[in-house]
Amino acid sequence: MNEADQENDLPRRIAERLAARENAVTVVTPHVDAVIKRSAAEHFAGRASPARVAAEPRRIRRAVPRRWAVGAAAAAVLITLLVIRPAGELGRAPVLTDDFDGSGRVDILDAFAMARTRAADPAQIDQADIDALAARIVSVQAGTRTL
Amino acid sequence: MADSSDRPSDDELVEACNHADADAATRAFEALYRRHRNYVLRVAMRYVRDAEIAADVLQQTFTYLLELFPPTGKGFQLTARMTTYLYPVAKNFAISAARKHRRFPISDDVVLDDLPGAPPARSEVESDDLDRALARLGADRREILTLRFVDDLSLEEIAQALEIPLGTVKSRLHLAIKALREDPKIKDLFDQ
Repeated sequence: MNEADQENDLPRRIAERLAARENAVTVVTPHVDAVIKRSAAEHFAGRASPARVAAEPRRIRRAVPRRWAVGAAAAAVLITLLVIRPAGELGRAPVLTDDFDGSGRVDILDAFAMARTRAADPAQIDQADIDALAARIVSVQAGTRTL
Repeated sequence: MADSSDRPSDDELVEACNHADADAATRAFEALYRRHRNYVLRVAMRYVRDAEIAADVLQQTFTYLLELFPPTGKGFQLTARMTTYLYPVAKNFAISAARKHRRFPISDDVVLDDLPGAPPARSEVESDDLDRALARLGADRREILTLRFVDDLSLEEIAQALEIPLGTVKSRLHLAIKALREDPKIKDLFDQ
C-alpha cells in the first residue's frame, strides 16, 4: 500500500463502527418475496417459452369446430356464474402475508412448509426468513390471538 | 463481477432477463432478487430506519428494475457491479418514502447508540467519541465512507452510484478521512 492509499484508508475500528451504524439488520418477509416472484412471472409472461412455441402448431391443426366453440363458451359462462362467483367472495378476504402454504391461516405449518422448501432448494428461502416467521407465529400464539 | 462459484453471475442473470424465454427470465430475475435483496434493504434502512417502509422500498426497487427488461423496457446492460445500479434506485425510493412518512434521513446530531445494529461498546468513552466524530462528518462524506468501506465499492463505482464526478468522490473521501484523522478524540486510532 503506497502513501496515498494509507492516507485514504480507514482504521478497522472506525470501519466496524460505521458498518454497525449503516447495516441495520432487517428481515425480508415472505410477502415481499411472493410479490416480487409474482410480478416477475407476470412481467415475463408475454415472452414465448419453448414449451408454448412447440405447442402452438398442434393447437392450430386441432382447430375446434365453431359449433363446439359456442357450446364451450356457454358452458364456461355457466360455470363462472355457479362456481367461481362464490369463490370470488373468498378472494376479497384479507391476505395473510405469512400464509406460506396457502391454507388460509398462519400457523407453525407455514414455517414447516418454508423449511421443506428450503431443504429442497436452499437458494429459494433464507433461514432467517424461516426463523422470523416462526418467531412471529410463536409470539402470536403465546398471546392467544387467533388468526 | 464474475462469481467464483458455479452459480450464474449477475451478468448471466441479467442477460437471461433480457433475452431468455419466460420461464428462464423469471427464474433469473428471482435469483437476482434473492442475491441482492438484503443489500437493498440495508441501503433503505440507512434512510428510513423502519423495517416496514424499507420492505416497501425493496419492492419498489425491484419493480423498477423489472420494468427495465423487455417487454416493457428496452433491456439492461450490466457494465458495473449490480449494487452500483441498485444503490441510487434504492436511495431515491428510500428518500421519497422517508419524506412521505416524515421520517427524514438521519440528522447529524442523533445519538448513534439509539440506532439499531450498534454493537456493545468496547470502551464507552471511545465509542461515544467515535460516534460523534462520524456524526460530525455530515451526510455526504459519511455516505462516501460507507460506500467505500462498508459496501466495498471502488471509487469509480461510487462515482457511478452517486452520479458525481470521480474527482468529487476522491475529494470527499480525502476530506472525510482527514476530518477523522484530525479529530483529537479519535486520531489515535489512525496510529494503531
